[in-house]
Amino acid sequence: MSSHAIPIISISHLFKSYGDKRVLNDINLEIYPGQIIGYIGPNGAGKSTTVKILTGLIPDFEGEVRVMGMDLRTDALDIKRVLGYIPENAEIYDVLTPLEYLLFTGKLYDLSDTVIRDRAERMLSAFGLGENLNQRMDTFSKGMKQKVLITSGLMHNPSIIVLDEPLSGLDANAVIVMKEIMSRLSKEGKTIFYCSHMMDVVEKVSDRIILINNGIIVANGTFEELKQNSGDSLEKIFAHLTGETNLENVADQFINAIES
Amino acid sequence: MTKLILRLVRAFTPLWLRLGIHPGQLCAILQVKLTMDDRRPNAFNRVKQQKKKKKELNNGTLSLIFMSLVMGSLYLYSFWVCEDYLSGLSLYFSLFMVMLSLTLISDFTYVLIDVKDNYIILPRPVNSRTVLVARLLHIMIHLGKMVFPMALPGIIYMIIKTGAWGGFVCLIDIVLATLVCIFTINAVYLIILKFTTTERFKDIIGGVQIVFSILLISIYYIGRSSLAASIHLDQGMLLGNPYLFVIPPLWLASFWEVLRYPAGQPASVWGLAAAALVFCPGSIWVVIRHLGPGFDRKLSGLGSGTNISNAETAISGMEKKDGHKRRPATNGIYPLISKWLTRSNAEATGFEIAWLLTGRNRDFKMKVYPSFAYVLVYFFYFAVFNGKGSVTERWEHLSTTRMYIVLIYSSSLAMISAISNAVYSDKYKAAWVYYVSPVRAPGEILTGAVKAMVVKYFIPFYTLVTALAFYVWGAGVLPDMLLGLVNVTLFGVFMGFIYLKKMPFSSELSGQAQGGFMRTLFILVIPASVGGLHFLLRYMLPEDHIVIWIVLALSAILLWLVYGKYRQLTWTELDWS
Repeated sequence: MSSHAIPIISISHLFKSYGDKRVLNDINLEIYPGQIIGYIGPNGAGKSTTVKILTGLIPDFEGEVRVMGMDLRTDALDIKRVLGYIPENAEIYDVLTPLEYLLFTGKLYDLSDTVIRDRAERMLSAFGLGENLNQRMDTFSKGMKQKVLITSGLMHNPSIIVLDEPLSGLDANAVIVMKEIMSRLSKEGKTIFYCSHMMDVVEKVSDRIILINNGIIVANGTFEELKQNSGDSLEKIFAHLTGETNLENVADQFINAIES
Repeated sequence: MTKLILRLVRAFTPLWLRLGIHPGQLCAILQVKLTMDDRRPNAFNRVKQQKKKKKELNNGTLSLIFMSLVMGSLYLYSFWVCEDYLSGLSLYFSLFMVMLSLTLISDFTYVLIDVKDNYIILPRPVNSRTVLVARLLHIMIHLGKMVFPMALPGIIYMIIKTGAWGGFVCLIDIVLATLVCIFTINAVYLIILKFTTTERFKDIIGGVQIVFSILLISIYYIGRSSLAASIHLDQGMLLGNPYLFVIPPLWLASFWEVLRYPAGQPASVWGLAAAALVFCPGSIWVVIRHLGPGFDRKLSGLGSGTNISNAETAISGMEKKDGHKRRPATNGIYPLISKWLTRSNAEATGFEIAWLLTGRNRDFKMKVYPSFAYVLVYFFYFAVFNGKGSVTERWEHLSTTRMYIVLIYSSSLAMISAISNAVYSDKYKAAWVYYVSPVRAPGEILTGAVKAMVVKYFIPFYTLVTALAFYVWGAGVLPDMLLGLVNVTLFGVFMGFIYLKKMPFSSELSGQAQGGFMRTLFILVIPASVGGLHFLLRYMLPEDHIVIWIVLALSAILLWLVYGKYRQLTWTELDWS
């Protein structure tokens, strides 16, 4: 990866507050095409807010976000066209069937019915949901819904894929498939912005890891680079950089409470 | 239906393109919204859908249209009560507008604003104008589905009675009325949301709906005979009270009058008609010019608004954690009562969970609170308003009857309703916690919950009923009231023991659907038979006889025995379905 390439996503001086609580505090980021970015941080660090700004869910923010050279403020629609988003908390119209849902989201990207049907059928069959295409999703398990969401986020063949905890609810096999899908997509030159709490997965799949804490980026580099100054596993690096150095003590307090 | 609407929308493609709207996306959003409307249970078919739970709901729209038609026919009642068209139409439009506004307000929170929209539609390349127009069209279609069937019986009635012109003017009035309703909803939304959150808002609307349904049923039973006679709603009364001039239904009725019978109308009617013509379209102008932008922002921003407030509560939660600890939530009197009345931890848990959740569960309140009012409404209907003689005569005469027995036993409706609804919750899945717990006798949790229902809802209500009985019949009815209390409590516990072997808040909401026969048995047959026996006893005995106390003691012993049995209910006897 050459640092001379043009960044596909560049975020500069991004601030965001809810009321008087500052959630993002001067985020600066450059992401290059074909990378898998692992975006990690403790609960409430500002991960989801970043993702929501990037995907256009939160339109009001301070600072500048450019995607493929376009300004998120003025060219939001064109950016959304090349973006695929797989949300974290399984927000889906579950009284619809997967096919109906995908026909709907596909049409929002201007795909034709035939293309949508064809892709939906092939993608969901690959996920083992071929039989469930015409069943309403209110009876689906979390993993099944997640597969539909993944399909819906990738069906329009986006160049940038934003994944927010995409593996939640998936069984072990589906996790393996999904990891493989991610690395194939990145080989094809797609950029993947991957948010997760699963440190072992992030450690393995990410080309670059960005750690955010209290709205500030505290680490940004390859896993190898991060290892040099903080620890030998991403878990330890995470703990070290987020200031929770004494996790054993936390566990001690917790255990003592029930034993006394 | 949906296909037809979509074809119609597609026909306007050139217009959409001119406005910068993407026709394909517009249709896609509308199609999904209309499909979901068809499948989502609405205020009318919610109960019906629960009856046939296994069957998937496909015809939401049809049932909505049908119910609107039925409601619309009910409003015709106004023409029967009133003597002339001005007052008849005023009452008709009042009912029409109140019902429409109430239904629409809850639809706005449940149907028309879906928080999921923000996650699903916003990240996709859809411009805001397309989203806005899709929403407006959705709202208009939804309105049309309700307004037209609801107005149809009234319009037909007017055509039959006053000719085609009369019907046509009535149609114009309906359109004007709908505009005022939209204005009202907009205004109410903006005002309430300014002061409170969406969740609170739903609670408030729920409360209003409870009050209104009680009001409707009271008017239906009591008002039918007395309202027309005592209030005497006619033209003279309406026009004689200048403070009534501010109500829109009167404008609309006057508007109809001057267009249908222009000759010889008094100036006040002309003035009111002018008010209709000015203020109804004016109100929608206000919506578009002033409330509209804010409302649209609310409409589209409601979800993110919730997100923000969620984030804020999360943050304030965090701050609280850092700062001072919150006081434990054991204030209130229920822990004390629980301590007095329960004999084991399991029972106390059942008592406390039922006490707390019934106070915070909107569905429970919506189902149970009206039944308390119905008891009184039915009683007054049967005892005072129904039958020969004037109301005052019958009221005077009441103390010589034994109607208090009806009062006592009809109160079992409230009891049964509270106990049977306490097993339902929309978060019924959270009840797994009972099944993993090492509770030896689940019956103790159940009796705890029943006790909570008795203490929290039934005893206060019964106290009120007793006060009423003392007022009418004097303190001499005390033994009867005590016997009633024990008997009705017995019905509740007995029903729990026989048929309601479920953990509190552990079943999916299914309304009145379950065990229709058993419910009738416990609400109607058993109370009526026991009430009959009680009446017979009273009929045969002189006033203060020892026998009534003996029966009371026997009942109490029976209650004690059933209660003891219920307490010992085991896991295997529990209804797991």
